[in-house]
Amino acid sequence: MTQFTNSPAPTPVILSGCGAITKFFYASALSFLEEKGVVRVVAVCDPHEANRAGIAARFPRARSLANFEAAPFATDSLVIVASPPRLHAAQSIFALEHNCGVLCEKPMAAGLADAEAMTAASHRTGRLLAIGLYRRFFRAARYIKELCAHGSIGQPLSFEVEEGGAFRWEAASDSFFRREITPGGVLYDTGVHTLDLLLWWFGEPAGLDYRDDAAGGQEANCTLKLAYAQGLTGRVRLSRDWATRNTFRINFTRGSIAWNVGQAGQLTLSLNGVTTVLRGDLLPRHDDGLGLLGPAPGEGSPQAFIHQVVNVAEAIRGRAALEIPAEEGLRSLRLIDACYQQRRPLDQPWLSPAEAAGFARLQTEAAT
Amino acid sequence: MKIAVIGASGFVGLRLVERLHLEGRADVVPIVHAYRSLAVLARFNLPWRVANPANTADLAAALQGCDAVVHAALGDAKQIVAMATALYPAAARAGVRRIVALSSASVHSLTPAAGTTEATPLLLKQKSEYNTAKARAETILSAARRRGGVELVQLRPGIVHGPRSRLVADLAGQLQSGSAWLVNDGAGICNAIAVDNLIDAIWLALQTPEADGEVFLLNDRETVTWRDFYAAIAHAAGTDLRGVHAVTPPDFRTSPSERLARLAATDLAMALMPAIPARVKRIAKAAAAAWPETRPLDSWRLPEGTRPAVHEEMCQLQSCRWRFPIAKAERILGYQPALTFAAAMERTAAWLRFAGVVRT
Repeated sequence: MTQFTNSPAPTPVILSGCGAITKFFYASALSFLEEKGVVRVVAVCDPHEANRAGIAARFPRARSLANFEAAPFATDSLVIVASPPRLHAAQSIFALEHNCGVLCEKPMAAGLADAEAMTAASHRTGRLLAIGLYRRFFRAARYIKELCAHGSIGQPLSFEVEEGGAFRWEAASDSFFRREITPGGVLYDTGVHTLDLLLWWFGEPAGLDYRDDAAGGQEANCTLKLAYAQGLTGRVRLSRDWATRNTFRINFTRGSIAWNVGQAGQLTLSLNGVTTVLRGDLLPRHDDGLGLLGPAPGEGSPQAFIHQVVNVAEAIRGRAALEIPAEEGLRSLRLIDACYQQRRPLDQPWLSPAEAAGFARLQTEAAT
Repeated sequence: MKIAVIGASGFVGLRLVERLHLEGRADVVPIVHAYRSLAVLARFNLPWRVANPANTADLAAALQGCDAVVHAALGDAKQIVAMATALYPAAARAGVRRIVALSSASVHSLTPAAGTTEATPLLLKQKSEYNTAKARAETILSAARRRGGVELVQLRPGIVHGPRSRLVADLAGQLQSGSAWLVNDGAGICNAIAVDNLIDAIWLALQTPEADGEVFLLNDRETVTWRDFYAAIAHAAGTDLRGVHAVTPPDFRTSPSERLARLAATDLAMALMPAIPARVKRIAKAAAAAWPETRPLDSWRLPEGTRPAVHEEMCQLQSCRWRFPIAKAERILGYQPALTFAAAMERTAAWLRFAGVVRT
């Protein structure tokens, strides 16, 4: 993880978008980092006064602005784009062209073309564009990455992922659910994180089979089968409809890993030939002799969010390598786009024949 | 016909929207209380509306242009009464022709007396606040119908089961984990109704002129015991009833947390609540939660299997000895349960596998 350093001149931060992701994640991470002298929030932007007021109150020295473009875009500022996805491209490109670094919340954009334009703008301006795929900062995600890279329990053979549950996010409007504004449902939402991790751990798949239940709108359930050149196969099931186990299970040649997505710093490890499993916290290695591990705090999602902001702030100052540049955000969007291109109807075996026929008709109409 | 569905994201409301839209029976206008409730409905390109069903003006605006409305919204006791109070004037203001409101067979209590029919007086004071509220909601709507011009049909389904049923999913989980339990070996009557049979009844209630002003009890065709119900779910879950605990209903006493929650829900407490400092509220909640409700486990024991969590409402449901009749629904609505219990459970089993509740 990137370590932060106290600086007499903390990185100025412009925060765009005061919706749920800012309310529950960015505001707290930035408050902590402001206190530590790593960043200084200089502007909070959102066209909706009601959304903005609560966040602005947490940063009394920052300007509270309805108009994003009126923010003080100083060179090497960090602009956090946490506005609705349809605004990501315009705001990110605007900030890059004003010599700022950008941390853009996922999904990177409302479409692949926008995401590619953002990446091109980052290259053209020479400014950093990071994507908010914060799960890569989870200790569990990093542990699995290392297992895959080093073959510690052999080669990965197969995986199974179940993610999602009844949708509880406090959406402030229905724009999130309108296909003309937001191009996808659960795959475009939760799936961005899921597919990002799979791409990070296992690389690009060689083949896929994607099915969902969208019938003129956005999918609430989908399944995805992936096959890889090295023989690895995997199944993903995502839902906004019903509780899932929220678990990744990966089988290696010498054991398996089970990870509950809600536990950023914990894993269950099963080794072939051993009848019990090991479940516990992932902690930094501190070799102090007999004890091997000294006491160290566990970490969860909030710490991953903080690490993410620190990494971008330090990368802007040239003191760290950027962990998740735009190209990484593009990878999951490209895979999602490929899924939608190859969309097939999800089998819903409880539907009557009349309903199934209606579903097939609606999905066909939506595709044409 | 343009039909509004209030509570369109709930178990029954969602299935109703799904059926009406996919079968092309009607133009559907889903109404939900919060944007987040659109997540599953958004599979379809429908003209949804977001409104507070307990606010007459808000609801009237959402009902504009609709011929009929089905009220399938869930809520706590207060919300149930508030929604019933708002519904009729909102429908009248919007020019809606007919309301079909989903009540519950529990208006007759969970252990109804033998001989109970639609003509039996409602129990307006029950131990369960939910059941009392359902009975009050019915009386509010019936009184409004006597004064107003909007047609009204009220339906009293029993235990609704089917795809997306939380009850079924929970029982499947309990049966798989060994924590399921039955009272009296499951001999009590489960007044089961498949959600798709209920949808058929709603459709008939929307269209049958003679149904106006009437209430209807609704069940599946067969008499189903709780043992039958559990056995069907166990079969779907790939298990059986051998691990089900036989339970004698205990003496139910409310815990400090429950007593505090009930106290906080009274009108007087609600009025006083803003004056109580947040810190005091937090301390009271924490103290109630920390109150030892069971004796601490003796550490000198070996772990036992999963223990059943026996709760009062299910004990009462399983003690039911009366099968609600559907003769009135058959006679006036022409209700004929199309799905047998077995066929309905097959659909539910397919959904349990789809949802990953049951592993394939």
